[in-house]
Amino acid sequence: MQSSKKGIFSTIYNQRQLIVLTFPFLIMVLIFNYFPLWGWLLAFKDYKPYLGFQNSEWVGFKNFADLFSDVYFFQALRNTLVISCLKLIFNFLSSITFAILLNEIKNMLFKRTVQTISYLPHFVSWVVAANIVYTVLSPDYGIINDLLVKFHIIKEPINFLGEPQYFWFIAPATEVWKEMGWNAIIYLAAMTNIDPQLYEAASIDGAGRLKRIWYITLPGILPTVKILLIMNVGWILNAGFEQMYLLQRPSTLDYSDILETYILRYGIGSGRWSYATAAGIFNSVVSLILVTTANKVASKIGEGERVF
Amino acid sequence: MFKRRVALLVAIAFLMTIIVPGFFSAPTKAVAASKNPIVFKIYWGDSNAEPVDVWKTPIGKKVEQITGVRLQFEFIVGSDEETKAGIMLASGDLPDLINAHNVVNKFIEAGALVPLDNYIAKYGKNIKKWYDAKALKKIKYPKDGHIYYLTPFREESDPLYSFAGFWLPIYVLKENKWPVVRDIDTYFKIVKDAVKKHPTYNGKPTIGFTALTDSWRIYVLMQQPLRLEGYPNDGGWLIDEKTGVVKDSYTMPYAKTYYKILNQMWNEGLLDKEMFSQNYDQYLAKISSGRVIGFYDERWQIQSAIDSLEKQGLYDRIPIAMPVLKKGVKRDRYNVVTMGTGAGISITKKCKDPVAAFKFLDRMAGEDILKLINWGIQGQDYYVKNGKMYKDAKQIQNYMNPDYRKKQGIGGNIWFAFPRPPFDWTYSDKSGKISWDYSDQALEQRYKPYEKEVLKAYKIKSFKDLFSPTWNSPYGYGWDIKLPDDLQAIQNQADDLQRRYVTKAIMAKPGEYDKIWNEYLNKMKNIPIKKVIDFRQKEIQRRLKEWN
Repeated sequence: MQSSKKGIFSTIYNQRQLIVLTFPFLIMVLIFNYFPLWGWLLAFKDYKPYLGFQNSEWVGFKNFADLFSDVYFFQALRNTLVISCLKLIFNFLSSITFAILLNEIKNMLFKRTVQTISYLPHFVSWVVAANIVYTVLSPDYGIINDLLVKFHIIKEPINFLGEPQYFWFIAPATEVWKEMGWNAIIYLAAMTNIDPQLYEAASIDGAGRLKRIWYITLPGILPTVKILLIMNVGWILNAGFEQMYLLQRPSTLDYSDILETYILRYGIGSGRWSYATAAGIFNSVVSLILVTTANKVASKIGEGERVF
Repeated sequence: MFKRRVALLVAIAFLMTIIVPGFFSAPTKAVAASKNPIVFKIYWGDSNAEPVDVWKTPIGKKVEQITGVRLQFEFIVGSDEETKAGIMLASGDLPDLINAHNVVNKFIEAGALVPLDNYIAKYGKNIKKWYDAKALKKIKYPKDGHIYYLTPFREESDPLYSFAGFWLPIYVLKENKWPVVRDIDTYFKIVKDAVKKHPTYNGKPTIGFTALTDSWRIYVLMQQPLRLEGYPNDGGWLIDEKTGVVKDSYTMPYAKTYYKILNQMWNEGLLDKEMFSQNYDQYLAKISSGRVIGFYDERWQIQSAIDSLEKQGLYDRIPIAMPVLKKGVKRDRYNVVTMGTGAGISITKKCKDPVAAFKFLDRMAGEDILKLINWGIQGQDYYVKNGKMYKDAKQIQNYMNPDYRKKQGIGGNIWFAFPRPPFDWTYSDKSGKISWDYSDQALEQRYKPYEKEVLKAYKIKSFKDLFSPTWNSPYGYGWDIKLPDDLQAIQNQADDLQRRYVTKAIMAKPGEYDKIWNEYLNKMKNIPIKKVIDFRQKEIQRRLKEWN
């Protein structure tokens, strides 16, 4: 920890190999993450591919004006935020709970089997998963409706995927089914880092299972949870394109149309590249604001856990 | 030390076995490659086509031998042609050839396609035979007067079956003593009675009426009111065939009446509960299961479901199209014949050898190849006697089997898209019609036994006899008018609004229908659809003037 000017140079000199090693990655980030930003200029043009970038007309903020005057854009934004937030909450709660419960299981064979089964759906593509979801939820012969009707919980089968209002919950629920086991892995890893002596000490002090979970396991994984939360907030405007695209139907568009599917349909799908770019910029700016805010908040509350 | 040496030796031996054969086999491969035909990549942007790589079938291989061209297919995944075209153009990653189908104007406007006019004049030996000056005039892109593809939509319609209609399965028709269902009220009454009489089939509930609503295919639900009013399928537009005046179907009064009927049926539980959540495959599976009574569709969309029912032997469950109309309308236009201007195969600017590609397209219209792809291999799929082509009983059976056709590579959606004459033309050696489907033999043989029984019951010769005579459209097909991007965006908005609200209205609770419909009409007012109507009207009027 040297703070003098000479110190900085000597630190650089001492770490010269490390610094050189980071160059390839810096270049990669520049090429793939910063260079494409040049394409944002499209949002201020009326881009026509046959005219090329040079010859397309400048239109200023017209595309943004169009975007903000479209009712369906705000509907898509609302849906994105709602679905993402629900997904964030459901995902965190389910995978943390699952990891804790799994951590308490002492029978290794059972534990491994459960874990493997739980993360298998992660490897199934959404194309296949969407068909599974459809079949399971079908009002015609789907197992869920069959069970609900047989146990007399409902009288008539529910058309889950056809009723717009249900979509906000189907999206997070299916995501939980698909990703819960996978997301739990990182928490399980964090739990293995907790010192076993803490548990021993706690049980000598008379703490039961629940108390041990509450006072040792949970605080133990808190830093991981915080970092993941901040990182996920950055993705909040990405509500999961594939899933939505495959599960949405014309009848549920009012609740299932998210920004990405909106951009696809009204932007690229209609040949409005500039419009799509404008929507993309909006998306990025909001994400940036959200991440920095979350990071600030985390650093205020926590003991220094933050991404940057 | 010794161990390390052994390890090294093993490693070297291992590397040699991997690398050395590579060195030796490389030159032989290169020699083989030089004998290979020209390879063209082709993008198949027609989401209706079954993705069959015909070049791998016996007939495809023969075509390769004759033309010296091998096609490498890339089929569209999913059904969103427009989006895929947009992404292709944005990335500039184009194959040599494209079957752009409904979104060809995007490629033309983007300057991605090679104009074919000069090639046709210079190399179009076969093409000039099939496409006369008048036909070529029709497929000129109105904006710049160039030809970018040779349309496969020729003046022909299947002599055996109606193109579209409201369908009812044979057992229901039989129970009702073979009615010709002409008005919609009777149609839905038959549906209701049938559901009451047969509440279940194979342990699953019978479905009264269903509809295809998967992405763009929802158009079949949107065009039902138009069809009932006696208009042809013009892409959702009411076109006056004499004056060329175009009206939109979005706000047509009859649509409200018709969807209200559906809304009542929805609340009575007669409509398919999954109508708005199923995709195309699930829809086909449902019809194939024999549980569905009524639906409206075009025959080509449900052909595979009919094939499947036949294969299962569920003959009495096979649907027959009925000429259903609104009460008071006299003439149906379910069957239209005209030369369309829809897209066939185009050559892109990225094509490595456009001349060779065009010569290939022209060669595909040669009579020997037409015989091969439409009739099959001589001796195997057909015989020639006294200079006439014919199929024996076994060959006919093969030809009628969709699996055999797929394996052999006869007919089908892929060959359909190449430049071709109408199928009912006759080869210049007078050996028969271009396609066996239109030959005299086929007209007798193509109907299966169960169909012949139905025909006998109705005392008709063709299922088309139930319908009004085929109508010859003076302005072509209204659906193949290509809109510029800005107008397309407006139409997409209107389509989207229509789809959202019609589905919402059909599923509305009792008493809420009118409120939702008025909300829809109010929102439609905000969309400048008038611009699209004007554009279409101008184009229809241009066609009426220039084509006739």
